[in-house]
Amino acid sequence: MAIHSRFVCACAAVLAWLPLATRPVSASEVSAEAALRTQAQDVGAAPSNAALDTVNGLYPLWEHTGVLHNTGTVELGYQRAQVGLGFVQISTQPFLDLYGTLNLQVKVAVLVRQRLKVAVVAGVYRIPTNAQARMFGNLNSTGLVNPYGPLSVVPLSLAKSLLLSPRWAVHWASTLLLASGEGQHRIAGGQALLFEAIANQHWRARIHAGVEGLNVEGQGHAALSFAYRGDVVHLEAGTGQRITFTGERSTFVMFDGALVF
Amino acid sequence: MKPFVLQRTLLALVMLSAAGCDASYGEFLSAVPIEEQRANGSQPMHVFLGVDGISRQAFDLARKQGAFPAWHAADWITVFPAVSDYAWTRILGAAPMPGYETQYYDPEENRVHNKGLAGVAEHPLSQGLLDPLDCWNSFDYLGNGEAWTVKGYLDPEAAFAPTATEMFRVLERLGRTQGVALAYLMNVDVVSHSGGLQKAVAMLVELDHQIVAFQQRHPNRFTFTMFGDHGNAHKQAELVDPNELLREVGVASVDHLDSPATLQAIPIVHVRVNSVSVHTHASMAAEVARRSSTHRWVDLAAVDLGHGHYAVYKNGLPLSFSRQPDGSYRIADPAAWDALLGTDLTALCGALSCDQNTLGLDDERSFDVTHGSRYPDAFHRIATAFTDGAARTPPEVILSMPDDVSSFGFHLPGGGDHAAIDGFHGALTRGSSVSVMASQAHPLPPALRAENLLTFFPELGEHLWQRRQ
Repeated sequence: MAIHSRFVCACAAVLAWLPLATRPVSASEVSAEAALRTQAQDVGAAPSNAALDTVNGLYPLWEHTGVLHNTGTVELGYQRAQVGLGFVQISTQPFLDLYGTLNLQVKVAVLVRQRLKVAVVAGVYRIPTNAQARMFGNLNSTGLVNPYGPLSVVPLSLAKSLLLSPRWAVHWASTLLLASGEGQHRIAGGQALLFEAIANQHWRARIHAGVEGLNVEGQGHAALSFAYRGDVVHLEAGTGQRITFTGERSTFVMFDGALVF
Repeated sequence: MKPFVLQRTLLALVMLSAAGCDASYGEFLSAVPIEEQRANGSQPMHVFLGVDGISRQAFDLARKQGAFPAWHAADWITVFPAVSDYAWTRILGAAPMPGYETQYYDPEENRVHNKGLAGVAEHPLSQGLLDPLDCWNSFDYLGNGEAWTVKGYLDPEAAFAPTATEMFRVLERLGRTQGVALAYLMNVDVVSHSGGLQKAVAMLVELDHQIVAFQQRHPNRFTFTMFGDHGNAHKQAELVDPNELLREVGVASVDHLDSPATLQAIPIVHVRVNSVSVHTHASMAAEVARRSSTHRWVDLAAVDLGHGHYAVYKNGLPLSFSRQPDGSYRIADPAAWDALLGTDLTALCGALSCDQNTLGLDDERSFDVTHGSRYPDAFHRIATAFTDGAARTPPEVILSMPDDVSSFGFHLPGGGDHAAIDGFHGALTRGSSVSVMASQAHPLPPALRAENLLTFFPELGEHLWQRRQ
């Protein structure tokens, strides 16, 4: 199993980094694309005018998109507080900060086309000692136990977003994750796919799928979610199943709500 | 809307919001891969599975259907009163709770806290979110999701599969880093109340299937030991009101105590169990017990007479014993106790010292001669019900009801008062008191005291000690 996981991980990494062979993006291209997207939204875009505008994934740690917020756009929400700065975007996850897991993510646009966007996402999470004990109640279980020291988690992702048609988009994130704690370091890999069915300018139905934790604790996930994207309000919620490579299953829920300025 | 109701509603909303944050936080932590730190072939992880309300009877019937074939099993004599919060607190050596239930009497304030349906509603809020009892915090796996207790009560059979599935996932993760885990399953207790013995048996058979499948997915990695917090009489019960019971025997049922010269008492009627703790003035305790024991809804009335002396009233007549500082017992009138318990203490008078018709028994022998009786381990369980520190304010009297009578506890609107009447626990009787200890780890004696769990399995005691640091 270990050799197989490493092979899958290596192949996935090679595939994931292929888009970097294309030329780097310029700041003017980012601005032009952002203007195009804004224009599309302003006229109440029908699917025929659809643009890639899903900035964030919903499945934690492993799911990302290649899309950045426009310059100066600020998103304040439950899952994220982030600001777009041209071809760079900076964000944190406020609900994690509440639990003492301080975190920061930086997303850099690598390639910006109308139908294809690629970005590199780097993050750092400092998970405090005895993290599970920080929950408000005792209604949720995770199985993560770190009683003797904090954990540092550093994911590095290459996120690709492709508008397949006016009604369909796909986001693919390839991630290497370094986790360090209690004197040990481990590197895990993962691939996450997010398919979006675009009903209209506001409503999306999405399918989430992926494998993650390869080389350390391999598992797969599949989920369904719905998203609403208003002018200033973004809402999304979904549920799915997770299954480890050893056959243990679990159900999970995902949700987010944010205001976009 | 009344300010009190508004306050509770707002509190509930705030807490549910916090629970929502917990869900996202839990999902984030679940997405962090955990390195395998315990190499295959090392000592298997020992999983201790606390199955709420598993009775010896249900376990034996499950075995007859082929479940748990290679497990060692022992009678597991639980504490008195055999109710969950208090029993888990004592079994797991957890921090004390105010009384035996969420509803309790505070003698300093002279009032009852968490009364009625509001007190019932308080249960999941205070124990799931606000300030969980230490006994519940002792479990590595308790349940998963904001609504797991609600789902578990509304449809325990439907909720069983997802709860068990999630439990095995968490155990698999925990098994990567630790050698001992303590998990909890509530559904067997609920289905015993609301569905009866056969449904409890079916759930245990399904649990066995799932454990076998889990162990097949992880060969030689997990060893299970399973035990309960109380038994279940598995008899349909008449639901009765302890307030009415007290009034009918001439004891004023009150919500606070007045003059010590008044024959009055406060029954704690929070949940549906077949025992009732009763607070009264110490000087009135024996009389309240005597009168209560004459009521048809009462089987025995146990009373703390002070200074290590205890009495049990049956039909208005007392039987007494005392507990010495060294933990031994002095049993007055052994023949009368034999008639009650179905034991042969009188025969021991020949072998042991019997002074003025009083039999002396050390604690170990007391367990040996009474654990198989009609009221298992009666002397120890009655005495420690009043003295063990697990309940900060124990009552003066505890009423033990027959297996087919149970306290209403709380009233539910509509037909709710007549639902979930298929089996109860709490009393001194054998059905209520005998759960099971079953283990794949090593052989067991025929019977064990539940409160000796951590002595019998010191690795669990060590695990809990580390968890509480």
